[in-house]
Amino acid sequence: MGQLIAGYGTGHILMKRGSAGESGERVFEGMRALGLRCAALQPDVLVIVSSDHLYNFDLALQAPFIVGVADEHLPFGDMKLPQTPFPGHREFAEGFVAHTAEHGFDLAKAEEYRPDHGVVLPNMLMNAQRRIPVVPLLTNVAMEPRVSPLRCWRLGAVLGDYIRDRRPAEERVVIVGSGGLSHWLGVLEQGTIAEDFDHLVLDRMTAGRAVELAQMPAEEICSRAGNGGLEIVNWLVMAAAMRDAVGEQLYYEAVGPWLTGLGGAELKPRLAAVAMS
Amino acid sequence: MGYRINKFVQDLYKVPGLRREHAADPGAVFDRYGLTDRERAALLSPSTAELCAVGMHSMLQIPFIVLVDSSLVELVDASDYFEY
Repeated sequence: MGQLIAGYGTGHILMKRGSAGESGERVFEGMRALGLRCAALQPDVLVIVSSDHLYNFDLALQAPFIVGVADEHLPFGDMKLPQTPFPGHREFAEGFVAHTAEHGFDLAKAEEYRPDHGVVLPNMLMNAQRRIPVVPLLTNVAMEPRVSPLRCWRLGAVLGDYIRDRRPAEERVVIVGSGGLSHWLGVLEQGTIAEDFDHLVLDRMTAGRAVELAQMPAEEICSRAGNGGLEIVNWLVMAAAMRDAVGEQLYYEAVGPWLTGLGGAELKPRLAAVAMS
Repeated sequence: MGYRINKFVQDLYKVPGLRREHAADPGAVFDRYGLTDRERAALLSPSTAELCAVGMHSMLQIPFIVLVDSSLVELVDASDYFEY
């Protein structure tokens, strides 16, 4: 019986240092604090739920959910992030795919996935020494029909059950939901940031009420938070795995020059939260 | 949605030498991909409105513009937050 020791949600972009003034610095400080919290927990496995930005899984062949099963991941190198390889966890990843197949999901497996900033940036924050093996789980927010928030929620629940029921005792797992918050990219509304919606996401996530977000249709999330805002489904996978965990908001900034609302939160298992209070 | 213009952008990241070829002679590359006059114009003077109008997938627009707009190349750079 593995241990799901924490879940994190975080934005996954940083632009040229100085290009967003103090707001950008506050985002980086928030991300760094979030990463240090995760590192202090000394997890054995990091599951990073993100979306590929069409660098790997483009329109030539589209799948809603993909797991990176390789022994080692070689970053794509976008956002000028380093192409330094980091370890994967084949046994965990393939076991997860097999487990989901028994529970109503047909996940694609990728051997040659090249992680982009959606996975690499959180990994650099939380796993700076690249010692913790990483399992990337990709949700496809680029394809039509859009990925369903409720189905992401259900997949997250299956992921949580896999960790708790199928993984070895004492294995400590952290799940990261990567992306968001509101942003519109490559559409006429580009540059809009929906601060109210972003605060709604952070509030619901940390109050054990994330399921209310999962009950929104994808079209509603896109309408209120942008096509990029649909990346909050990655947070929903994490939150569902954590069941009704509560948590803490760690940072939020509406960063105009970066066209994005960026936020971060930490969820802890409810029993641990009660014990600490 | 037109697939050819999207395949062109995808290939810029996948086909060795295509970026160099596009930079040197975009018309020849556009010919090979069978792009229309309007698609070519949108690629040569990219704006969100026009790229949307010719059917470029929203998530491919940033990867394309990063390749052709030097100001965006400088902006999309997280390298100086980390020590490698």
